[in-house]
Amino acid sequence: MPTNSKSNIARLRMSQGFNRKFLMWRRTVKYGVSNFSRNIWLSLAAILVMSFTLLIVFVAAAAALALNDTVALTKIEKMDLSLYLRSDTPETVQISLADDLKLSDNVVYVDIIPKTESLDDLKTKVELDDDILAIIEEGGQNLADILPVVMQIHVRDVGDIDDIINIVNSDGSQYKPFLDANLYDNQFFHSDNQKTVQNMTSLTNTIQIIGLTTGGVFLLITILVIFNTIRLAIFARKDEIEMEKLIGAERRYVRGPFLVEAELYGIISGLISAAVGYGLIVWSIPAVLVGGSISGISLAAVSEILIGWAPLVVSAMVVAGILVGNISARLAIRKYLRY
Amino acid sequence: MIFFNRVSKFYPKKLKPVLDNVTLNIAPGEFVVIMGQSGAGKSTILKLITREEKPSAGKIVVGGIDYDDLRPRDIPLLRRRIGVVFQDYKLLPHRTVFENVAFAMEISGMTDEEIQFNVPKILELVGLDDKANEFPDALSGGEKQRVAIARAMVRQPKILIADEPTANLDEKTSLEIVKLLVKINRYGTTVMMISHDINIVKKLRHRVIHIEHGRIIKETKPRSKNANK
Repeated sequence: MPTNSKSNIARLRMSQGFNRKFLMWRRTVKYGVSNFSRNIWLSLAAILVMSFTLLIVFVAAAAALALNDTVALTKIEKMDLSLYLRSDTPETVQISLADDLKLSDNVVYVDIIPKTESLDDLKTKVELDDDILAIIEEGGQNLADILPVVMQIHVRDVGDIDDIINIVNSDGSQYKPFLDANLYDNQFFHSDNQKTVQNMTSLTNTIQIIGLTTGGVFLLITILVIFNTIRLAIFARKDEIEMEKLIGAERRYVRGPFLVEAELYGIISGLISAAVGYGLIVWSIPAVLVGGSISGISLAAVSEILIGWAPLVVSAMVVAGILVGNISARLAIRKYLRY
Repeated sequence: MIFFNRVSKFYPKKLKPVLDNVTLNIAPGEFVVIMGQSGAGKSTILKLITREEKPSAGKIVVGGIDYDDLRPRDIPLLRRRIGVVFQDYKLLPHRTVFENVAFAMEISGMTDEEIQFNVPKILELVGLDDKANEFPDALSGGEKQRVAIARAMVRQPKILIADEPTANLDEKTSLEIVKLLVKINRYGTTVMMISHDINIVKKLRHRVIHIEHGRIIKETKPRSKNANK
């Protein structure tokens, strides 16, 4: 019998070229769209669930963005530590400490606050009026003299000040004898914002985890729903698929219309969830349109991305929908594709 | 055209083979009937040719293609070159006669122009040119089988395999279908008809291969070359 079987097979495999591929793609889309409208109620249910998932992801992402931005801004604006030194610390020691601190990567700059400024600060905080001051000073003390020397240390990260503590307070540090516990909380360090920033960071993390988990759960539900929708559609046309394969349809041609159908769910869901998401955010927080902030939460980044990059955001939603649809449909049809 | 060399097919968990050491050689342009009771292994031969099944042993070469050289993705391409007609027609119920036939061309990537040109011609050949816009439900059994034959032939395959094409038809209609197959064979297509209907087979004067329990038990040759005219 024929020995040229290999070349016969090669002839079988001859490429069909771009035009044929485009033709097949057009037909695939046509049948996908007709499947979609034939199962319109099933399609609508699938779209509803998918829109809901994408909406949750959208809102969670916007919220995470706003919180991250707020925390980042807080960190940049208010990263000051105050270090308190004894009132009689010599100026040379103050300068050498400032120089040593500047060597740390975490330190941006160090200010030595003049005592007059510290006094003014104290006056406003403790509400000393000039009469009381006069009384104190009559006792023979110049108030400015007994005030601690304050060093304002501007750091990059208030969460990571071990370096600074090490310089001033380790055993054998030449500066240790000059430290003075501050007036308010008996620490020689004081930061108004350290706690706040730490709290906010952990709040953001928690919200992100909740967002990711909810998003993940809904993603799973969506994949299951689309998977089942497509499986129903496949089941209704099992004989058809069987016949297609028997008369020589390629795998991708059998699969194509189902993928198109599921991707259509994705496109429509992406658009719906983007529209509802934008509507919801702009309606509930109109400030988003101009940036700014609301109850201490910065909207600058959210505004920049949602409004400035709106076409990209909507496309991303649509692409996400297409991906979810595609993956679910692929899973559903896999077992029907064996030749 | 179709060559089986010592082909056997076993299914797991079954003691007896469905096909047992079958050797077949069908020449180009031949009309061959595979005859046998149900369960004799006739349909397995079809499934082996369309590569729905792989043989457990032996060699199969069809249309110059050795099946040992085939990769899975070649299978659809192979099937496009073999026309197959099924006992239960396997038509798409939601599409017209024209669309059913066109479908076979669509999946092979033929252009709309090729489809518009070829489908009416093939419908004329099978005698259904006036039913192009009917749906399968509106057709008789014989007409449905003609649609199936048109679908199998529209890509002009060199081989046509008909699996019990007359099983669901009355005698008169069966004869018409068989005559259509003979006509197709006269245009040069190798035809393999699988049947268990002895009455139909008797009326044909072609080579008949009898199968029983997976083995070829006898062959009857045509009495004369043009006897069936």
